[in-house]
Amino acid sequence: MKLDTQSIVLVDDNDVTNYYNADIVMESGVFTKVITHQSPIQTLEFLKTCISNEQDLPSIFVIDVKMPEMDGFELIDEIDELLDMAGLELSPVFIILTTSTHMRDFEQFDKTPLAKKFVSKPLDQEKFLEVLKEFEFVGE
Amino acid sequence: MMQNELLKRLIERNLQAEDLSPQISSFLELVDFTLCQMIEERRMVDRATESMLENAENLTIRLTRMNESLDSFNYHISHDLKTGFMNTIGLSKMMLKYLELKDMDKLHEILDKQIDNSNSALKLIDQFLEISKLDTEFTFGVRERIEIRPLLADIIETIPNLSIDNVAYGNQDYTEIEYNLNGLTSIFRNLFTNSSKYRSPERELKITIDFILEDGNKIVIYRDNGIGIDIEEHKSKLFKPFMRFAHSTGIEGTGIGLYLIRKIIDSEKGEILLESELDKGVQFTIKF
Repeated sequence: MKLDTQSIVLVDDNDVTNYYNADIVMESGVFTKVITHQSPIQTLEFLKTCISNEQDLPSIFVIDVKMPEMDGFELIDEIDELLDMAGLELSPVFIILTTSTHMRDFEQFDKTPLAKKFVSKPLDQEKFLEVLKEFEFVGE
Repeated sequence: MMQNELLKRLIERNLQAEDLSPQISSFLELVDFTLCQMIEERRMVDRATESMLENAENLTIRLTRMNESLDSFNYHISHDLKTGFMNTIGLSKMMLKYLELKDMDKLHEILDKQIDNSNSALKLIDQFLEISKLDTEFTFGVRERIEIRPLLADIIETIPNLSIDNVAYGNQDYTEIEYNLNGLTSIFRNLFTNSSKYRSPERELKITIDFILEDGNKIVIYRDNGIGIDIEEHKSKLFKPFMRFAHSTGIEGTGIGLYLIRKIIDSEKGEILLESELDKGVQFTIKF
């Protein structure tokens, strides 16, 4: 099993946000599989299924900070644990999407080394392209 | 002669002293009494200082808590309100793109999303306003005699996907209550809304309400057969603002309902107890 560089997961409890984020991601032309989840639970279930079917995993996760069941940082930890338990040494890119510039979010960001980047909402073409360049999904 | 004189004086002094001794001992008693009183007063001052300090400490804890909850209030409100506007920006940019592509179907779809988005934002603001309205109303709130069943019937009509057929009444030990009308309306509107939203997809929604008199206290037992809440897991967040629970994905809401109910009941010096079992439903016991 490896990471599928054409596969991306977007997690946000707001379906409208998922709707236009998916459009932005599609437009970049880098990904053929754009998966949106409205809850972190859905993402974890999805990954469990992938692992048990030995399917390749998404290479990048764009995750909202504030969601009802668990926050974005908790989800990142859960995903990490899931990969660990399955004995997979894969490191997908985790991007955190945030609405606020509240201290609370930054503190958590510093405590979660796996969260690689903070992107302020709303996502747009420019911001997304920057992320893709930074993590070498596209060339400079 | 000298010796005699001296002796005489000494005896006189002794006699004088003897005369004085009752005065001295009563003086000593007075001193003793005053000292005791002073000690007692000192103790009282100490006690007063102690309780003042304790009060100050309690007050500080309460103020700190209030500040924290205000801070959390700001965090949640700004997040939720911003989401609406950010979605508007996101959707508008998307519209510009599809306008250029002259894709009318897609534009139509985006506009529908925008209407939903604005409606959610409006609903959110209404709920926030309801919280601050409660604050002022309950400070100067008036109680009035309310006939419960007709009020509930009116409320049920305003709840989406809920009808009077979903609601059954059990015990009816009393039919009227002295309460703040807006408060009571808000309590039941939130209970009904939750039941309607978190109904089980597998069975028809059934709400049962009992009105019970116990030792002169008016009690309402409100039950539904919805999806329920995992009480153990969410114990600490149940009545806190902006908390939503697993299984609430895809169901619109702000996490204010239970918080509002608790706030109203607290300010009227009542009690509320929530029991629930997953996939069985919830039971609220409210002592008014």
